[in-house]
Amino acid sequence: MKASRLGFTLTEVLVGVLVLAVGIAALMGTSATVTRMIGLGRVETRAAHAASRRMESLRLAAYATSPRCTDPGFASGGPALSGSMTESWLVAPTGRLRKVRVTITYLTARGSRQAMLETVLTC
Amino acid sequence: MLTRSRRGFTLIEVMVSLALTLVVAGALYSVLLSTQRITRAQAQRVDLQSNVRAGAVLVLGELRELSAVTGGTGGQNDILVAGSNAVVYRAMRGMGFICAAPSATTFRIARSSFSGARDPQAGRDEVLIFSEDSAAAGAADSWLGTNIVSVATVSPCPGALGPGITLTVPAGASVAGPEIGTPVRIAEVMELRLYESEGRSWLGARSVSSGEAIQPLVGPLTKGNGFGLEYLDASGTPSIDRTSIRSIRITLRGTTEGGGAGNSVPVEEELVTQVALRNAVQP
Repeated sequence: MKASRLGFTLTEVLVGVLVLAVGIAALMGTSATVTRMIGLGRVETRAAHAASRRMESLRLAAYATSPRCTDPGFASGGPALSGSMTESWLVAPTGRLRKVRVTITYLTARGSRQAMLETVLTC
Repeated sequence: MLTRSRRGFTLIEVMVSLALTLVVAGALYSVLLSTQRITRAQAQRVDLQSNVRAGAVLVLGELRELSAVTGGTGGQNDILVAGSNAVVYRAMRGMGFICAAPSATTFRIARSSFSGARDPQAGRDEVLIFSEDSAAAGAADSWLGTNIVSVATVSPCPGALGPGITLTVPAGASVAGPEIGTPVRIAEVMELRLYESEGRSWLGARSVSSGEAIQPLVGPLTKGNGFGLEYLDASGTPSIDRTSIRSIRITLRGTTEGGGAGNSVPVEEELVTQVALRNAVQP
């Protein structure tokens, strides 16, 4: 007689609550993602600035001598550790137009990533 | 029985469902609360990051065009005061070429050759005139500066349709009688520094030459060390000699407020950037 009555059984309700809990957990997951992405944006900005800082140093070294680009500082180098990031830079050894590439390797929650900055300096 | 046959919920059922609803509502409430807190904290962090980033871009753009040595005398240096959290510099506001020099104290710049965000302003800007092998400068080529007494945009350049920009400089200025075709720069003395207003620190800018009050550019930043400048010479070592500055390292720091209802821990954001002075890089 009890089984024939309309309504939910306790099991059904419990399953329902469980599904809801999963949904709420997923909701919490989105804010965790947002937090992580904002953190990633921060690290990426720092990496970009580290790359431009290194680039400016190389530019400085390139133009510090006359004739240009004879300073020993204007050459490929690295990996150099700066904070939590690793910088390495490649300078074309010859030519009037020298390609310069700075690579920054940094760590995120999901492994290491790279930021690259490339330009050409006139010698 | 009468009670058994009636449709509805028993007390136990209602109690159990109420309890479950309470649990679910409680969970939802805590999710809402934590989401709200996280959102607030993240909004603050985003604000902070964009502040510091904007500051880095702004300062970099302002300082990039400076020339640390333009001639023989210290006054011709674009960097006038090199402080650890303030810098006074001659900011480029325009450039053009002289098309006519009607008198010893007036000369005209062709409108077509002038490029700048705004016209020169008397009392605010100074004009720097290129001088080749000037004996007065004691060096090779240099830029000689003087104040602007008045600016007129009425008379045209010879052969030009529209009016040129006519500048009058004080009598006796060292720049008298420039040749036609001489390049001129319009510059304004600006100051960038960290200052406090309403209990918070800001990166502010003001035009020193017009004597205006400081205005906030970016902020709020960390009190005391929110904006730092380090001056480097050609070899990258810190230098206090203004004429040997070839690069400037800029540090911007900000802190989120933290505390309060969100009781999040204050987050510090620091961005270090560097700029090689484009007009001072040559040896």
